[in-house]
Amino acid sequence: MSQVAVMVFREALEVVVVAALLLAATRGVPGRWLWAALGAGAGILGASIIAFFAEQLADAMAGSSQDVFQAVILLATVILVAWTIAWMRGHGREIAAQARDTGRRIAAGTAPRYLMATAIAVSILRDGTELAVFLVGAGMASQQSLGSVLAGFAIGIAGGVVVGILLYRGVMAASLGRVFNAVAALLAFLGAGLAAQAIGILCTAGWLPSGLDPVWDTEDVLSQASDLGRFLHTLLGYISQPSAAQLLTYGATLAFVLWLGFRRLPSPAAVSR
Amino acid sequence: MLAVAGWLALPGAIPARADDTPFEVRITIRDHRFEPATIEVPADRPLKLIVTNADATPEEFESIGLKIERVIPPGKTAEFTVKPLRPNRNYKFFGEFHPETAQGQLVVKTEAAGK
Repeated sequence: MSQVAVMVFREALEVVVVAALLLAATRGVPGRWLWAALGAGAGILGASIIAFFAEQLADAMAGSSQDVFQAVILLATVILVAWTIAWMRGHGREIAAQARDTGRRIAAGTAPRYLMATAIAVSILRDGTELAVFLVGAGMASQQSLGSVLAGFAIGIAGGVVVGILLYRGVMAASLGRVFNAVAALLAFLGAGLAAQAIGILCTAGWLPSGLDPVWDTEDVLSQASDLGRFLHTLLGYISQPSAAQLLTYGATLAFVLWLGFRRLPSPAAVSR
Repeated sequence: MLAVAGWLALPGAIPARADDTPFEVRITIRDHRFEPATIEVPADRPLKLIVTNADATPEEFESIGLKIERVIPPGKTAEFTVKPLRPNRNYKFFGEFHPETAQGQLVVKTEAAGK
């Protein structure tokens, strides 16, 4: 059971970090909790369907299609995160005004809730597929009863949700009135890490020409497979053996998303109608 | 687009030099362990990892250094092409679903011993 719990917790962690930060970033957007839940539901459904057909897809999965699937989802998540940040930066004022004045409820758009929901859905699709395959395997293995698998699953998910709540509350509390700036910065690091991971997968799979030689190697100091390594990998994009292509991708994505989140906007007078 | 073109062109590029032929490495997952767990491989030569899951449960073959992360269903075999590696470096790999036992590594040598 404990092994199932650990596995579920690890897979849930990435989804939870993405969801907590995006929910913090979209503070004030109406209907965001509902849409986050809808995104989560869609992701769970999609992952279950893929996992159900995993056996049938086995031959296709022996090739590099899994790698492409992972890389596409990672890059899609980066785009959704960047888009959310760009939108919130541009419309943050309208949303703040809307929170003060309910009469203007229709004024601010609702785009970020769809972006956020889609980002949560694709994150779950990626990690959930892996998790579902693992759980079916754990259920098939005779040494584990269905009850212990379910108990482990519940403990793992509960642990993930607790971390998510702590992260969400922590970000909201620590940055007081400046929530968006703090979250935008964190999401920029998260997005840079996801992009670097995607490029690494594409390089290995032969879709990109560059090699794997690590620029540095801190795997023995802080293993990326350890719990702290995983957490830092998810939150900040920590890579213990980054290739040059990954470092370039990381730097470029970080700079771009930070620019989106902190770019200079036209003065309020020019924006208001 | 360039990446796709490069990928399509790759098979034609393989027979150019003797060193470019992939060095085959066969790994079997049995009882949630890798057989063999430590493998010496030549440097500066592409590798082809052929990983067979002989267990009744799925396993995820993962390597942080090699940027590999792929689920292998029970009884199935997955192949990975690894680009040439520099010598005197170890690349660990593990089974994400059973990390307490499924641990292994590639040891990259300039003069690789025979298989």
